[in-house]
Amino acid sequence: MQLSLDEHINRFVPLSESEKQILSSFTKSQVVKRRGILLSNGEVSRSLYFVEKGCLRMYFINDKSAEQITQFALEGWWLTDFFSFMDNTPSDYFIQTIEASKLVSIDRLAFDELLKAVPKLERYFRIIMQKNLAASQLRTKYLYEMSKEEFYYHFSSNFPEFMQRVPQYMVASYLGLTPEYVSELRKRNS
Amino acid sequence: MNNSITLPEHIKKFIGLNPDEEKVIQKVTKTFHLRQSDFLLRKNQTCLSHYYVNSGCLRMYFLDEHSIEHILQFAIEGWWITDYNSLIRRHSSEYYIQATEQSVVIELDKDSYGRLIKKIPKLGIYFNNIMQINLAAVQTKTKFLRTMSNEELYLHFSNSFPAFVDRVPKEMVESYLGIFA
Repeated sequence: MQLSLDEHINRFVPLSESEKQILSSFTKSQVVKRRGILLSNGEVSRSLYFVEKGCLRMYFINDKSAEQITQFALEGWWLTDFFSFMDNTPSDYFIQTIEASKLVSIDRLAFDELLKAVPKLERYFRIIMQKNLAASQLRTKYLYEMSKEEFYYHFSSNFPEFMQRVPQYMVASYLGLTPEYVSELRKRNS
Repeated sequence: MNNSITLPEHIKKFIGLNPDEEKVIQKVTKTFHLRQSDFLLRKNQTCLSHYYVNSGCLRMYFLDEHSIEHILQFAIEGWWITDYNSLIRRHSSEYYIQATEQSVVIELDKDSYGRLIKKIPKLGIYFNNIMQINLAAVQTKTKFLRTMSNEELYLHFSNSFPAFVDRVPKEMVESYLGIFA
């Protein structure tokens, strides 16, 4: 599955050819192999990433030296450490590709300039960020409401292809369960 | 005495605004003076607006099946808050948005938002920044919730936001942090 940024934007806001050109002058395309590091702990997050193809994970190392995943991004999703991106401060996170990925990135300083150059894009990014915020509100609500097992079942029934693409130990990390327990839940489920 | 940040003052932290533009903003928004415990949104209503806190404090929470309150977010001076799912999909909200103290809140409904951006396109930059800040806060909160024990969480939170912890009842902070005795 692949979703170009132009296609994605077009779903919300039609852009003229010249606007597409301007957009492309503000963005950078890159292909990153599996396990490529896009952001490391201690660096400032300079880019906002759009996933055209592939999958990203965002994680930090907790005080038990384990990787704690807080977010994933699939095709059509944008990802960055927003705090670092906005404040120009070192990030606590790593962003890494889980599979070979095709990405489009916008530099933090370019972002406001891009909105000035193509004001229509305001609507696109507003919709994107509202969806992002809606998803995180929902995710937080589920985390409060459901037991971890319920959350696992909810997650796997709503996103079955995702469960196929992402290694089991990463799903476990994201859900706050041990890999062994996720294995057991998977067996119970099938 | 708590701070108050008017909406034009807050916007000017990000972009310039002239007096005419300030008037336009005032015309499309509504101002509410809330007493402690007043509601802006109740469960099963449809959330049609974004809310900006000029002064005071709002909380957004839901009740689980045991009628326990879980606070998703707070908003103090300079913060925006809304139920994004209800707003985007226009279906009924699961949340309550309530004042935890006397508050002055600006309401910008969804349709007025669109008209406002058409009239003052550079506000798009302001709102994008706001949403990024909001997303940053969500990411930070997620990180805290994943890392720490209840005691560490409470301690870290109260060390980071001492003024806030003074303003809000302890049970509400605990609800927000997901700590239940």
